[in-house]
Amino acid sequence: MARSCGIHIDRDHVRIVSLDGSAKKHKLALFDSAPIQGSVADTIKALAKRNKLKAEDIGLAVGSSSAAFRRMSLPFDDRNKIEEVIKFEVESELPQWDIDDIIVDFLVTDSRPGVSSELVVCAVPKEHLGEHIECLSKAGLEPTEAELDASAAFDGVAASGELSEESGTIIVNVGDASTVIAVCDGTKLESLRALRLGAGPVNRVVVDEATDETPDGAEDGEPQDEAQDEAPADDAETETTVPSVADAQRAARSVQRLRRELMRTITAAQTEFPIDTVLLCGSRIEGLDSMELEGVDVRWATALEGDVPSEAMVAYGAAIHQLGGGAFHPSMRREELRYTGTLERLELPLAVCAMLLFAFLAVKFIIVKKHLGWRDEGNLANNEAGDAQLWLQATLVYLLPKEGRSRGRLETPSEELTAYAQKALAGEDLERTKYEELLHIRKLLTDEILSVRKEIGQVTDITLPLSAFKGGVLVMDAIDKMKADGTVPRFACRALEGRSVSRDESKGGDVVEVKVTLDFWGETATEATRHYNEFKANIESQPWYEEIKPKPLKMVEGEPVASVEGLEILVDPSKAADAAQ
Amino acid sequence: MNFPRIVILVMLIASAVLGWFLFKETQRLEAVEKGLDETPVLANKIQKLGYQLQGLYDVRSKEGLVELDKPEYYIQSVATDPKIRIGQVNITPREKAVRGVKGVIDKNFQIRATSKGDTFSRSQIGNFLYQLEAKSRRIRVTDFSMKAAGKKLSAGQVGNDQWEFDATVTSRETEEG
Repeated sequence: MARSCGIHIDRDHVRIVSLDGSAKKHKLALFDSAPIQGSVADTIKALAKRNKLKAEDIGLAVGSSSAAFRRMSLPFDDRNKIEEVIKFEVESELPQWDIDDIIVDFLVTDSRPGVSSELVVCAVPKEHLGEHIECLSKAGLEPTEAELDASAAFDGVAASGELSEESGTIIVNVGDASTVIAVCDGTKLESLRALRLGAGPVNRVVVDEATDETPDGAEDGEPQDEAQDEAPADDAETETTVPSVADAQRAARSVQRLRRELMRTITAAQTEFPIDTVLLCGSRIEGLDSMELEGVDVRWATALEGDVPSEAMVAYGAAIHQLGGGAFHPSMRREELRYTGTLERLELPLAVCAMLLFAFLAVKFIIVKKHLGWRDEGNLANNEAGDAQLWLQATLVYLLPKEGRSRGRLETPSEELTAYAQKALAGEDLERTKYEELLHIRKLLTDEILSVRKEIGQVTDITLPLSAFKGGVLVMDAIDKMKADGTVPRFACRALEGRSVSRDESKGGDVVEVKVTLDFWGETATEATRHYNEFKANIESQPWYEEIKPKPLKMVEGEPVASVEGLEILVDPSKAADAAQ
Repeated sequence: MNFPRIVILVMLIASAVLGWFLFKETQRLEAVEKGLDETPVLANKIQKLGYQLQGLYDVRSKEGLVELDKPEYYIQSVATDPKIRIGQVNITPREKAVRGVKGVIDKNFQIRATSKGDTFSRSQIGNFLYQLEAKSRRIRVTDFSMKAAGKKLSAGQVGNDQWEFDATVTSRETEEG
């Protein structure tokens, strides 16, 4: 739910109204007021603290004692055009001020689209308005918009539903130092007028109970705080107020004068509907609501079924404006008093910071780029090689052959390697750093090495068959060693065959089948047989032995010779290599 | 939108973009600096690999089997090697798919002496078969047979170390070669 706050700073009082809801449907969240004691800022601060007020959507309404109102007709109704010319147009109407010293705002009371517009121009010295804004800012409640109490009072009364569409009404807002008279034709504002007549010049005198003396500077008839009885309790304990005869006389004179002014206004009013009501708001002056105006009804205006009292009407109107409602959209925070939020205040330093950040990054980027150039490739177009480029060049000079120069490490490099080396040297590999290019060259070399090793059979994915020759050599080598150590002093081989046999893994895998025909000699047949058995035992003890398929041993008749024909020995030469390792 | 706000917006967007590029370039610079620390070792490694590769090229060029891509020529060149002196041999090529291994074939070359009565010493035959395997890592002697030459020797008889032989060498390759 939206919340807005209207703060009315008059000469002697501060009034605050806070609304919850929308412009059309809202309820009173807060109303409070306090007489100004000490500085305005301190009073507002105390009010804000008392009501826990937050600085959000605050509208300021200031008294019209220093303001001036002028009616004006312009031959167009475009708001932007009006903004452009308004100061120039009104300058001659406000001879009392330098046009540069005042804020000029306008309320469009009537317009014919594209043809003309009727305006009420409001002017107020920048100094006066600036002081009030400054006070609120000091109290931590900087207003987003500011206006005069006249426009706020009109829209406050209008929002309260007190204006009748078919009758003329005069709204009288009695301030501390000035009174605004707004003439309404139906619900339209007809004219605005400010009188230097207010409730402010006190009708009571503050008496210090302890000294029973009039406060310094306070004399009869001089402006005094009129509402000391509304002061905080602490103050009430030490001070009391007593009615003053002079104040009563002043009030009577004020009522008289106001009556005359109202009579004059009623008589001179050029409204479509006759004026039949005078609505009073603002500070109360005794006898004001009982004055006779020749049949015109005089009464105090309230809003929200009495929740908003007549004295809060200006603050109420300002709060309505902050909710986006009201017939007018007054805007007195302009020129040098224009509202600047946190972002607005920070945007310039932020913009400078953003530019500095960009400049810093740009400089850093240039430095890194330069550094990268020196350390990596350099500027090959200008023949300025970077450190890594020099390494690459030197590496390739020694690696690759070149015409008219001693040979490189590689006499016949592969085409792929040569092509990539040229590309890298020319700086045409944009994806890799020079170090990565060297890594790539290393990869090309290792790939080529693996390829050649596969080609020449040093590395193969295919398992080669077992060597039958190696199997035969293993068997013959075993028996030869037995001859050398005297275990089998004499033997002869008449035939030797070897065959690589492919077998399933379940059957033990590949083997070499060695078939050998051997004769063993001994001193006796028994010794020859023993030599054969020792040979078999020796073979069976070898790591590469798989199986011996027994064959009958034949003895040569009359000779100490044992002979075996086609003895089948299964061996695995790969195990011999493993055992050797 | 007033001028300071436009400046803030434009500068912040431009700074974000520039910051991203700066980040990438800084990363690249760090990588280059780190790389430069390791470059001497890498350059040395590349030179070593160059040596190694050239050595492998040399080995490849010396392998008749690879250089000429004709195993028969390779076998003949080993057989006629002056240190082996087997002489010309008959070579019968044959291909056979390897059982249980798809796409791989065994190229077999049966080697026989040109004349049936040709005999050789054990060392000749042994050297020949050894050199066939030693000079090429792609070849295996998968079958061989040595029998004492001449009249069949009976048990207890000793021959004159002359032998007849035949052998089969196998080069196992993929079907594409």
